[in-house]
Amino acid sequence: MKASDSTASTPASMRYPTFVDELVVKRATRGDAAAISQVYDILSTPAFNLANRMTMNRQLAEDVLHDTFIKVIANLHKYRGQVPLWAWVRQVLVNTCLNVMKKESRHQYHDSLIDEFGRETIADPVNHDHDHARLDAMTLLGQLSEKSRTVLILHDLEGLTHPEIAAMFEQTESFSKSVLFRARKQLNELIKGHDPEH
Amino acid sequence: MTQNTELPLSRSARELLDTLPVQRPSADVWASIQQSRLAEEGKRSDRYRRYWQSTSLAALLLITLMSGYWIGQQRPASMSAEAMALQQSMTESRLLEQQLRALNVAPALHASHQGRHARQELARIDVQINQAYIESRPDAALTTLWQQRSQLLSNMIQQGQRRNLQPERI
Repeated sequence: MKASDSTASTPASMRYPTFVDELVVKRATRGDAAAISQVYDILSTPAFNLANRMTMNRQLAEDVLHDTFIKVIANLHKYRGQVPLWAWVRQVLVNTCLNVMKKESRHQYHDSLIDEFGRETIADPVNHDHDHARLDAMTLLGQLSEKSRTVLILHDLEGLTHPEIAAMFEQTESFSKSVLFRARKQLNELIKGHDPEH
Repeated sequence: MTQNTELPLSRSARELLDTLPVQRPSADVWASIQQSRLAEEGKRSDRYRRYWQSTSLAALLLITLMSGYWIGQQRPASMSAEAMALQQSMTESRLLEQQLRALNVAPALHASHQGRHARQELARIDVQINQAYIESRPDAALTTLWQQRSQLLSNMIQQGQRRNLQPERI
């Protein structure tokens, strides 16, 4: 049984590990169940957090995590180690996530977001609480469009380059740069709007 | 506005993003993944079983059809060869019978013991041939009988020729 605590949270500055030992990877690619379990132990947290930030919905993020690992495990034998395993898993996850987000209607996971975070800021931006103490990154990210949020997360949090993001969206680099520009601008403005000093 | 120019994240935005919570997925996800994998493996083995069953059935059907086709191809040639052999033996027998009659050796053959025996044998073979036609026996069986008849006629001709050469003994 995997250890879990859905309420536990640690600061993002404490980066979660994404490195999987080469030997474990080799064993996993050969179908070793214990090694596969170990890969999940290491990569499920970063994968889940990325999915959660992209979808802004815990349930949906868990579904994405599930589907991603089903695909990853089924295709592990094809992994040749050209890129770190996390980069490979992340690509599968982002593609899965983008597909899921296309299918899901927006209001469904906004409702869920309210349940998850106990706030109304996303579903009802008019009643947004300007108390700086309640301002948090998830709330602000939730106010960005899906596309802006995803590009911002991939570039500024995951460290992906514009060509990599463009490839994931099947778009040009200009698209990625343009969306990132708008996302950063919007985020900066949102923060200013929440700051009582402004 | 040059959107392709990198707009830096403000310090506040960067600090805020650094406070993003790190959460863990619930344990149910791994259990669900395991369950899905087991179900998928079950489906896969079912698919393999069905695949092999249908492949074996298809192969069996193909072999049956090909054998049927091959037999169908072989039978007319075989039947044709048998029919030809039968026709040939019948013609030979009729020619020998004509040759025997032309020799006009019947009285001579009738007078000798060997001649009488040969005529009885010929009658017996003719009965057998008639019976074979009534019973619709295969061509090969009929050919054998017609060949026996030809052989007997051939012997009778030789016997008659020898008698003709010695008329004083008749």
